[in-house]
Amino acid sequence: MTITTLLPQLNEIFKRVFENSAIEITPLTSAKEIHNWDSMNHILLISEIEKHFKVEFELDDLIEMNNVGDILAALQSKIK
Amino acid sequence: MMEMKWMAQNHKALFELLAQSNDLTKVYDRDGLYSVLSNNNVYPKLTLGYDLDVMEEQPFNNYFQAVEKQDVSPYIIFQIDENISSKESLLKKNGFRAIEEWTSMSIALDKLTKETSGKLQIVKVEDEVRLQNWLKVVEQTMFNNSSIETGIFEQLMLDDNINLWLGYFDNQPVCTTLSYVHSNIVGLYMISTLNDFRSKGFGREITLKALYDASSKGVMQGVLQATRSGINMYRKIGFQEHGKFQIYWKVGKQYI
Repeated sequence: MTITTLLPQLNEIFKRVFENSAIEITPLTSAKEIHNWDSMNHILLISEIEKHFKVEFELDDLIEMNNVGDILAALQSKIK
Repeated sequence: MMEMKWMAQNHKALFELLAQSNDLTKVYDRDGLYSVLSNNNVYPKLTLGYDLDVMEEQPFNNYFQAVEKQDVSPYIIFQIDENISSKESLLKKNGFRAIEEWTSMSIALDKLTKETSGKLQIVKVEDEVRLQNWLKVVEQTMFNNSSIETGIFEQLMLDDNINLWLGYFDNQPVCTTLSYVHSNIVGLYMISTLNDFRSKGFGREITLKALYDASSKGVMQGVLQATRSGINMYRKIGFQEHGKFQIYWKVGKQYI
């Protein structure tokens, strides 16, 4: 699946998890730009992404994800 | 591994001490699981699973029920050993997931070399002003700015075996640690440095300060649980790795 297909779906998950309909993510978006993207909300976000795309990330993936680009890369490697 | 046991024993003894604090309202001590909780407090929000070595479902079911009643922390730590995959599958079935991995590390204190940069002024926290500064750094670096109950640490400060260390750079509090001596072993906790002051050697310096202090009192061994980002710094000090711990969390907004 391409980034252009994944990004809009990911954006909807971000809006839902962070309860902010104005969020517009790009691959460069990091925790600094999203209010409340802290370590625990990061886990909630990843769990929602897993449910939506029916994938499962390892702990290592979780720790290495520092921005939306990292999430997209991990997602692409799982979906293929 | 003996060193992992030292770490687990030190951590549990610290929690048992915390349980004596008036600000902690709930103690869960069942089936080899141990947790202390206070209402609306982010610390100490961890259930210690170090003593659970029997692989039966009942202790887990008791724990899961207690989590739902908010009688125990929904964060739980285990050693990674031959039983970890069975534990993990039980936890996963009940909505938990691995969120962090800590490495158990130890150092013989007679091998320490004395060194300081002189840039950091490190003090022992013995009054309210310093305690508030210490808490501010810890809250910012470790707890996403959630506030920690001051009373717990006011009581800890009074214990002869506990020291809170605070590092100042240019008169600004920038780094912390907590050291706890139990059974001739010093455990280091809450080693933290404000984001803007990282990569300057401050974490190393405050860690060494706590170790020198323990060594001067005849303590022979130091232990800690390192996050992935901290391992290299502790290796350079001389710490050695002895295994890993994994932390699981019941995923859900209501469990934060």
